[in-house]
Amino acid sequence: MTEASAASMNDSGEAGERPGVDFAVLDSVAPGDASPTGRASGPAGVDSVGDGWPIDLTRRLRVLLHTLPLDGMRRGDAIRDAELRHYDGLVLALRVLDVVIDRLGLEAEADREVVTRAFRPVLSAMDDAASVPVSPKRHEWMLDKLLGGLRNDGDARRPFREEYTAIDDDGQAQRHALEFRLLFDAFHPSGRTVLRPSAEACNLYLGLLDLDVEDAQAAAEAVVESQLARGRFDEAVHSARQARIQSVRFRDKVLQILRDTRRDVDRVDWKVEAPRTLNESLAHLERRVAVERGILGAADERLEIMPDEEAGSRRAVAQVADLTRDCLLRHAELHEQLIGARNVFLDSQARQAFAPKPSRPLPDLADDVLEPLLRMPITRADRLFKRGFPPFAGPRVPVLASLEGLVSWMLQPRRPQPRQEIPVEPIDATDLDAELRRYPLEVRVAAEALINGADGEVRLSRLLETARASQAPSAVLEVIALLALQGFATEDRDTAGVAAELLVGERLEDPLLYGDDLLLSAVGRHG
Amino acid sequence: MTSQRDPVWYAGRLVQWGLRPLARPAQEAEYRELVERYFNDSLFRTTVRELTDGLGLHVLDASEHGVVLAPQDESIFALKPADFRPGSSKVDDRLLDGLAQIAIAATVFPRARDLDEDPDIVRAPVTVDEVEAVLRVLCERLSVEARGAPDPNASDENRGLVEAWRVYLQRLDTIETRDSRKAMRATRRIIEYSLDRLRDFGCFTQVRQGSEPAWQPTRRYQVMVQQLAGTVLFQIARETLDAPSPLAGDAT
Repeated sequence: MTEASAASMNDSGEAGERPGVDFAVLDSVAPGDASPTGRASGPAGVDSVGDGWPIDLTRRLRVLLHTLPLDGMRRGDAIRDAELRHYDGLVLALRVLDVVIDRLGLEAEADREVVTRAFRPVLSAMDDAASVPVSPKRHEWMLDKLLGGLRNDGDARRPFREEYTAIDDDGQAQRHALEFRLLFDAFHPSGRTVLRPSAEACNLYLGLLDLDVEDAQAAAEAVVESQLARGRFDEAVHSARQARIQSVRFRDKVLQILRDTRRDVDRVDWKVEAPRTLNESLAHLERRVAVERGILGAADERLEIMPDEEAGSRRAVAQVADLTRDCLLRHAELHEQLIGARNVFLDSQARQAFAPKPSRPLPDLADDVLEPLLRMPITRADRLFKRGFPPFAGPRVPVLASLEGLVSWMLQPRRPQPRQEIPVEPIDATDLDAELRRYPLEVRVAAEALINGADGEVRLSRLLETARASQAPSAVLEVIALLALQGFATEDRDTAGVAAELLVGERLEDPLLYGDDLLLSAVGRHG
Repeated sequence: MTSQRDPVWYAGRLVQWGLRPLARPAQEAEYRELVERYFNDSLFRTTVRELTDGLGLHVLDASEHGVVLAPQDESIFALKPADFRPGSSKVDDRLLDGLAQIAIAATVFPRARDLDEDPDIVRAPVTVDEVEAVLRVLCERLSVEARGAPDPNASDENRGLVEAWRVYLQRLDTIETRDSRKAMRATRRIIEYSLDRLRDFGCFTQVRQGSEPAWQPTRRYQVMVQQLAGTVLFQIARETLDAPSPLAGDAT
C-alpha cells in the first residue's frame, strides 16, 4: 500500500461521518494490559508515546485493514472445495469490483447476471489453464463464493469488522474496531437487486493518487489529450478509461451528499462543507466538460484524417471518443443534479421537519424491545402490541361495500362463453403399429382374424387355446397377446383394435404367457 | 401530466399509489411524475402531507422507489393484531404473533446501529430458524433467571398476569409432551405464518437459501422498521422500562 493511496482513503474516512465508514472506539483496554511495552502512563510516557505515534500511521493502518477481506479471499483459495481451488480468488474479487464500479451510476447497473456474463470467459480461461473441463454450474458456485466473500455473507452481510490497536493522545493503547463494507446488494428503482461497491471499495480498487478527485481527473484527461496529440492511441484508451473511473468516483461523491441529505438533513453539514463542495464541484464540472469537448473534437478530427489502413489506431481513437462521450454524459447528468442541489437541501429540510423523527439512541430490538416485552404480563404486552403491531405490516386498505357495484354485478348478463376450440389430439398412428410391424402381414392378419372370429367377448386364455388348436404359429399367439395388452393399457385403449378388461382372480393358463386373464372383445378399429 | 385538476386530486392519486405496495415509479409514468412533483413542488408536498395526515397516515419515505406510508395510531388503515390471524381471537395467539413480529424485525436488524443504515442496502434474508432462535434464546434466559422464584399461581394466570415468555415456552412444552417434532414445528409455524403474512403485505419476498426457504425483506419493510423503530418501538421500549415489575398489579 502506498502512502498516496493511504492518504486517499483518509479522504474518504473524513468525508464520511456516516455508518459503516468511520471507525468506532468499542472498548478501552486497561493501560497495564494494553501497552505491549508495559510503559507506565503519565506525562513523560504520554509525550514519548505521543511523539512516536504519528496520526498518519493510524490512517495508513486503516487503509491496510480494508484489504484484509481480499487477502482472506486469496488465503481461501487453498481451503476451498477441491473443484474450486484452481480459481484465483483475489483476481476474481478484483474483477467483480471492476465490473461493478464500471457500471456504477448507469441505468443498467451491474447485477448478478451481468457479473456472471463478465465472468464466464475469465473462469473458462482459468479452467483451461488447469486442464479442468468448463462447467457453468461450477462457475455459478464460484461466483456465489466470491460475491458471498465480498458481501460478508458469512456474517449475515454485516459490515466487515477489523480490530486494531492505536495509541491515543494520552499515550495509552486502545483497541479500536473498523467497520466497512466492500460490496452490497442494493434495491434498484426498477425492482431489481443490483450490486454496488461501497465508497471504500471504490477507493481501494481505483487506487487513487494523493490528489483531490478533481485534480486526479484533470490529470487523467490531460494525459489523454497529450497521448492523442502524440499519436499514442492505445495508451490514450487506457488513460481515457482512467478518466472515466475518476468521473464515476467524482459523481459518487456528489451523489452521496445528495442522498444523505434526502435521507436526513442532519447528516450533512449544509452550513459550510456541503455548499463549498458543491460550488467547487460545479466549477470543476464546467471546466471538465470544456476539456472533454476538446478531447472529443480532437478525437473526431483524428478519425476523419486517419487513413483506413490504420485500422488498429482508428479503433483506439474511436474507443477514446466513446469513453469521453460517456464521461460527458455522466457530467451533463451530474451538472443537472448540482444545479438543483440547493433545492434538495431546502426541500429535504421542509419534508423531514414533519416526518416522524427517530429518537436517539436507536434501540436494540432484541434487548431493548423484545426482552422487556417478554418480561411483561401478557395483558399489558397485548395492549402494547395493539399500538406497536400495525407499523410492521404497513397500511391495510379498508374495503368499502358499494351497493351500486354489488347490484350491477348481480344483475349483469351472463358473460357469453367464448367458443371453445375442440382440441384435436393427434393420434400417433405409428405408436401401436411399430410393435406389430415386427410381425409379417400374414401373421397380423391371422391374429386379427382369430380375434374378430370370436363371438363377442372371449377370455384371452380361451382365445389362445383356440389359436393353438388351429395350429397357429407362436408368432400369431404373440400378436394376439400384444393386441390384448394394447387394449388393456390405459394410454392405448382409445386407439387399440381390441378392448380388454381384467378378470380379477383369474389366471392366464398358457404355456407361452402367464399373468392375469383378460376378457377381450374386438372393436371397430383395424390396425 | 395535465394541470387541469386540483392539486388535491393529484395528492389523492399519489396516496393511492403509495397504498399499492407492489407499484413502482419506474414502471408507472403517473406515479413517477407524482413522486417528482412531490420532491419539486413544496405546495404539493404540503397538500399530500395534509391529506395523508387527515387520512391517518404517515409518509415515511418518498424516493425513486416510491412512497412508503404507515398508519398512524387508531388509523382506519391500521392492521389490528386480531385481523392478522383471522379466525383466532385468543390473547395468547395475538401475543405470540406480536412477539414473532418483533423477533423478525430484530433478526433483520440485529444491532441498534443497523437501524441507521441506508435503507437501499439489501439486508440478508432471514429464515424461520433464525427468528425462532432469537426468541428461544431470550425466553430461555428469562426462564433461567426465574428459576427459584415461585411459580405463577392459577389466579395470576387467569388474570393474564403471567409473563409473556412463559406463554411462549408453554406453547412449546404443551405440544412437546405429545410429539416433540410437532412442537418444534408449532413454534416455527407461528413465525412462518407471520413471515408469509408480511409477504402478502409486500414486506418480504420468499427466496431459497440452499435448500431452506428464506424471507428477503423488501425496501418497504426496511424503511418501515428503520423509521418506526426510532419512534413507536422506542416508545414501547421506554414504556416497558418504566413499567412496574412484571407481576406487580396491572390486572386490566
